[in-house]
Amino acid sequence: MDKLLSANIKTVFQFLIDGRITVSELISNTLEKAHRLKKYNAFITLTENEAQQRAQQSTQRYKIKKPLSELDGIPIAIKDNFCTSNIKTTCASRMLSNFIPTYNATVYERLITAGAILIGKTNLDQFAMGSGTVDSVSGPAKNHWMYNENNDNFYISGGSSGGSAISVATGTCFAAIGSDTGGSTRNPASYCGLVGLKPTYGLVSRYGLIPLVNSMDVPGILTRTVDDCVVVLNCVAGFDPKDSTSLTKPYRKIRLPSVNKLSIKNLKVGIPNEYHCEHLDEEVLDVWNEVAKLLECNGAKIQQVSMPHTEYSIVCYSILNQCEVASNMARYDGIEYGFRAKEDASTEKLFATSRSLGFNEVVRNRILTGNYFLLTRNYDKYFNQALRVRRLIVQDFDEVWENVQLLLTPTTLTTAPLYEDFVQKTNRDQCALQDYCTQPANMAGIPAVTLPIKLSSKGMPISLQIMGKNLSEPMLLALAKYIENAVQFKHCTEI
Amino acid sequence: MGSTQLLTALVGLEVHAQIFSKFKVFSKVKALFGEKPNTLVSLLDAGFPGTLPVLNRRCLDAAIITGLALRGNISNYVTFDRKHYFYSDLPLGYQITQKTPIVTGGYVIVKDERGMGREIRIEGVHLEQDSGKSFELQGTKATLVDLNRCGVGLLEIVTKPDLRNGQEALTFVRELRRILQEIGVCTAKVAAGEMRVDANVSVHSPGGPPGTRVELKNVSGAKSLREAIDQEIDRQKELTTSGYAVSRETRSYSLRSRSTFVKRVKESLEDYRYLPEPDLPAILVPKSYVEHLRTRLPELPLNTLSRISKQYGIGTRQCQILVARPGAVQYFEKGSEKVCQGRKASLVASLVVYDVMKELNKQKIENFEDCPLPPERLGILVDAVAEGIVSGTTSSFKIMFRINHCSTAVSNAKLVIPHLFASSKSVAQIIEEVIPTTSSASILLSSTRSKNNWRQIDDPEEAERFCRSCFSNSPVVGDPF
Repeated sequence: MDKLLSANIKTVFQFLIDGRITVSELISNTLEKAHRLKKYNAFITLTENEAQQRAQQSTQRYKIKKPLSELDGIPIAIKDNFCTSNIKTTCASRMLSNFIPTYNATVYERLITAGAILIGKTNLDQFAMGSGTVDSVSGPAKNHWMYNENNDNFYISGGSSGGSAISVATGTCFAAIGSDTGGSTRNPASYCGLVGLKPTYGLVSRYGLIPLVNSMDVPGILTRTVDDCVVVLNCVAGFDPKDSTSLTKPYRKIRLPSVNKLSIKNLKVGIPNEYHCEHLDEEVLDVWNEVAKLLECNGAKIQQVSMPHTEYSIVCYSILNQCEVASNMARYDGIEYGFRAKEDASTEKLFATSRSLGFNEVVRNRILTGNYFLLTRNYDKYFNQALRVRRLIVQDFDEVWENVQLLLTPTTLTTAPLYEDFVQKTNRDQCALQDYCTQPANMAGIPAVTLPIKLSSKGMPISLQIMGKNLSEPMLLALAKYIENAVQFKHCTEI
Repeated sequence: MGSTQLLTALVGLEVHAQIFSKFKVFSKVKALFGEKPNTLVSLLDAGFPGTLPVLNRRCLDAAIITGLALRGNISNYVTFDRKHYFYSDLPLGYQITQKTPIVTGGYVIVKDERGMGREIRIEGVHLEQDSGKSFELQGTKATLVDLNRCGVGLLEIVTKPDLRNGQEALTFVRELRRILQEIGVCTAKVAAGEMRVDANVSVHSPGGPPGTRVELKNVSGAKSLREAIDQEIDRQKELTTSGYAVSRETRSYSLRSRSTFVKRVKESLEDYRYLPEPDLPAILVPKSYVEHLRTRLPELPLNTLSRISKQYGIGTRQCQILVARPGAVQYFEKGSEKVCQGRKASLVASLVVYDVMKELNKQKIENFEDCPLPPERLGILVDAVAEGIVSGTTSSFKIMFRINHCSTAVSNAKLVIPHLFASSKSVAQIIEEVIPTTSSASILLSSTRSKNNWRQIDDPEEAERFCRSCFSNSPVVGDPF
């Protein structure tokens, strides 16, 4: 059974169709494993009752040979910043520790309509602010790679969708939904050795995703294989009238050719110079080179390209992030829902106390900074200026697409750091470092996917990132599948 | 103090008009007044996390139509912004509004007592959300919040400081209200809070720089508006001539004490930290869409006024009254054209404007659509007057028509009108009852002469019966046939 939990969706679906296993069995085993692996702290909430109920319904459907889709009965997990009706949605914060939404995020709605079964809400950095999943009221999520039972110095899972990454990487579920604002899906995917997709902005609905930076947020997908990623994307992508920023162009389901039919002959792949930056780890650089060579040997046209504004991207992102955060967090006053402090001196005092106690330092920090930037006297100098620089970054990409079809870069500068080392730096400094290669894609809105290549000398996953222009997911994922097949990365799904 | 006369006042208004629309501006929940508290609240209105605004097209149209009616420029690139402040009736912690208004420029013509028209320029019109309502419970620490109004679509219409006193401001608001009602954008029921007015007042020496602006919050309601502004102008003039500075403040007006008082001191302007609304992409409004809406505009009051004046030869004053009353022009034209072809429009107008309206006012009927007196009946009366059939004792009532026996006839006609309302008897009968010197036969004859739907009586027996019935009821008719 454990082997099955580590398989891909297509295989499990076949097992279910053939009646070799029932959904109820599958789900019980999944939940049992989730309990067993509590030490990694991947989940904030396990939704056992709902899961078992849905499992029963699904089992019936398979009995009469009428599954809703290839996802029917498949256990999945969702980051705890997606609203799930009647299920606690906390954003790993005290502010929403008792918040139970009455509505579903569209992504979740589409998944359960397809029959997928939610087994729990996963751990994250509070309100998705962070790149380690260490700033959570539920405690940090732990990377299972090289995890030493006896010594509690673990490697971080990455963030902010760390819990989602661990749940898939350990084989506890088959797919997880994360969110990606500056790399929050790709970063933990990279550290945990997973396929992590950031779709084109607007392709997947943001309705019900508690926002961080509305102009950059996207729901992200974490899976062990590229094929699994496509299954999930096909389920959730497409126009949503509830989200005014969702693309109206009708979504065509992606059908990737089988591996033996994939060819990269004459595919133009760019290697941007600027991504070879100061703090890039030697081993990561080597892997980057190896894969570039691999592609070239198999017919792809590799060329060096330049994206001159890359170095400004992180600062610019930081400002835009903090401004939108300050705005998005303004609604948390404890009046309609959420944490309300025991304070009755005045309404203002009530707001202030609730917010001070409900938010952690990282969140409060960003709110204060964001409000500073948004002051009328500062607006042009910071926010507007950041928007101008953002346009330059977008232009870098536009120019590059004139010459190449895809870009190959590292995802994170290193493999997963040790928790001890990671917390030496502030949240802000860590983000500035870790998000270097990932956040330009969010600035430009373009799709990006990370995939694991091999293990480092320390036994930790090293991953690379592929970026393409808007709506190039079919090409992006095809190349990812090609590389995946070539490198044959071995997942480490716990027993 | 003679020097107060040298100061002039500048008054600008900010009018918030609730858009007449089934749903709110960014959420699909009904926009109604007077419902039980917190029963018309969507997730977005209450600021729940993860919810997103979706623009209600009707509200966008309302803004464009208003811009057309006010002759402003309609932007073809429409954007929204967040305006942040913390308040218990603002769950999102920000209001979705427009820093760049969808309509800029435009004007409203306001006529003073002498009939002189002045252009009051519009600064701009923009779309935004209304907030909820909060009440502090006296004697407790509790605040009650009702979010029904939260998220209802508003048009904020801002004028340039072209108004000079309370009366002008009131006239402007009435005119604006009429326009908004006419184009169907706002029903402007002040009691329901559908139209709220804030005023900005300052005084200065002519030729000198403008004085400090004081904001008068929520001076809706005709009496408050005029009095508050005039009071405030006086207050500022007194302060200034006494050598004191006018502080930058927000004041409210108390009807009871007939004075303005400080609400809060504006030492520094509150910084709203505007942010472009990231959840609503910019909307491109093509010229063709604006033109399409223009064709759906009803005739605007100002145009109607000049048209009927020319077309029917009616005096300005009466035209103004007709145009000002909802449904009056339609009623009048029905009267003038259909029923009263060949009748003097000016006489119809006179009767409508003075007497019919008087009856409607007595019965508290605002809209002529609901007038219980059908225009056809009025037409019969008009004919009677025109034919000189309605005559009677002299009256000193002066009307400027060129009709025989005009003054007495018309004044007697005026006597008839209340009865036309009250009774369902035939017009002829009523006239006869009210004005004993008339004869019903002659009224009947005159009516058939006009283009009525009365058939010719061909059957002699029927004709005889008809005549007999008339004579038997009338003591006035002479020797029987």
